[in-house]
Amino acid sequence: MRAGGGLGAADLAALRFTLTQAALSALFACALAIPLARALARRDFPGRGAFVMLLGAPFLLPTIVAVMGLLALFGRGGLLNGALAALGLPPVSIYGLHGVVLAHVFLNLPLATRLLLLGWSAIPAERFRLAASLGAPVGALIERPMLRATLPGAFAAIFALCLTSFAVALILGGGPRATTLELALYQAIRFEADFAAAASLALLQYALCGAAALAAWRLARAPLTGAGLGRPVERWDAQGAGLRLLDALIIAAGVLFVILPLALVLLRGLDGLAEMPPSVRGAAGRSLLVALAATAIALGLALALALRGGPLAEGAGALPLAASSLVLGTGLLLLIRPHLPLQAAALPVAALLDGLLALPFALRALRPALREAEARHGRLATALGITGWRRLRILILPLARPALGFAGGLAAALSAGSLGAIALYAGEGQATLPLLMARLMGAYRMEAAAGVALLLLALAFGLFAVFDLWGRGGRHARA
Amino acid sequence: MGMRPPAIWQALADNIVTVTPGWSEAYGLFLEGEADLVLSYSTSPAYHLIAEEDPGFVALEMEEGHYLQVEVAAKVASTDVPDLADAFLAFMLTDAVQSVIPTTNWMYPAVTPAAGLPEGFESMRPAVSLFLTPEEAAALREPAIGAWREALSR
Repeated sequence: MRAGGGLGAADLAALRFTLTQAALSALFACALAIPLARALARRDFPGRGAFVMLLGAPFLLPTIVAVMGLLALFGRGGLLNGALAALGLPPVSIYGLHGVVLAHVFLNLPLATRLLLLGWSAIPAERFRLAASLGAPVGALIERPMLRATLPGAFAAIFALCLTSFAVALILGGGPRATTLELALYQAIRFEADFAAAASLALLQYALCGAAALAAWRLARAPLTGAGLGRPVERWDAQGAGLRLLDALIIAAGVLFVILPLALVLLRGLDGLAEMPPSVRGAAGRSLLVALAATAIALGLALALALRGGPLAEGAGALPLAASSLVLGTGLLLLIRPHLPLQAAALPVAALLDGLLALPFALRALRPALREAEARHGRLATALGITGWRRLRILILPLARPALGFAGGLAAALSAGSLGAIALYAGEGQATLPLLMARLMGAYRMEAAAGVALLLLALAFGLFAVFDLWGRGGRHARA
Repeated sequence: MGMRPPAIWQALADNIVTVTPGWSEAYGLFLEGEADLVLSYSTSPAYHLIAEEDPGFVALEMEEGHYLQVEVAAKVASTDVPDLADAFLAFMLTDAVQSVIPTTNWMYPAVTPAAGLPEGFESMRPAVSLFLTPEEAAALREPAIGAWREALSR
């Protein structure tokens, strides 16, 4: 079946399932993100800032924690089926393609919403004012062009993320009929040590993700180059009671969908906090260090690539999205082994890998902000002779601060939550929080693992919040 | 034997809630009430009995037998400290080490301790244990996994 590294019938079935679930997941996540992001962009309400920040959380959760949270809500023993049983209704099963898509939407809707929200907030307030004074349709003239520029990127990012998902797909898909390419890869590397098969599967996956990125690049229309000033957006076009109610309902549904599974994770974890082993302190410290180093790597690379610009830089920045962390980790392991003891390299390599994997998201968030800054003030700065480092320091970075904060928070939290390659190398006393959680789960200690998961969620979310607040603080100070 | 493996898997397929990447995810789901049965160790009930004082778990007895999972400690052929390795392996076989294996690793020790096994280890010990040589296992692995994947992929 795998002789010579070729693809068998089972691999083709895996390819089909991978594409179907990724396309459906990206489609639903983006389609649902449009009304949610629009509602958030034009409404102010108490707790708006907190909710926008909380939107980062599902994406940052370790997969198994997110799956447990979803199962506590939608599983056989979950709240939904409990309520259905109380009403005398038959249970619904989450296992199947719909479950995979539901989980991927839960994990990625917040990301899509944040990306679209960035697009909305990059529209200068003057445009809405102008449209209102002219009685022009805001949707067709202002919002649709922005969506055409933003949506393909968001779709492609989520599509690529779902292409490399396997734990969610396998668990909620209900077993081997939900085999993805990444699972086939995992099987080839971990169980069969069949590197020829792994390499051909990895190449296929790279090709798919590359095609997705290329399609998104061609679909995207001209970038936004408005020349307005960064003021809070006032809207004259959405004042009707019906629209207000609609937005309120959309936001309420979004809050429930994101918060309920998180709250259930929280509840499970509270009991486990007391059960955590003493080694949790060191693990938390190591997770924090790795996350900060990964953030520095991701932001540095993203800034360099965004400043250079052009399709080559864009392609380079998108590449890690197509990479399986398993393949990257195995590759780095093979590179390092002759030169350094693996244990000494474990933490730096984890930071490097996490930084690389976070790069596409950091770049995706930074690029429009840098472009906007250049479009608004670039000519003036050039006329004044502000170039090089000075241009970066006094023009670009202050204007890109919200995007920098968001990108940094995303990178830090993604790293804190990722098991990544550390599981391949780490020795005793080198565990990070996700690895400690995996080890506890492997030793029947599910309660303690839930406690560590809660701590991990707090750390990842705390990191995200600190960076994001810093970024958004800049904007408020200017307004 | 009766039914052949593909037929058995096919008959089982609609009773299988899901398959996970590893044991711990499956056991986590099982403890959350997602399934009534989980593929685990016959020593799992002993964990709940001893560590959590919960007698509510049982291991099902399969008359064809249960496959053994063996974990080993070994001396590397190229070691430059052979005496130390021998001493360590001898230490691993002492009663002091073997008697803590059941309630820390939750597996059977290589040598039954003088004081016997803790509660739950004898009462649910499978009657028939299966063990294949590496060559036999290697020859069976691909067709067995293939039949399983084939039946569960439908």
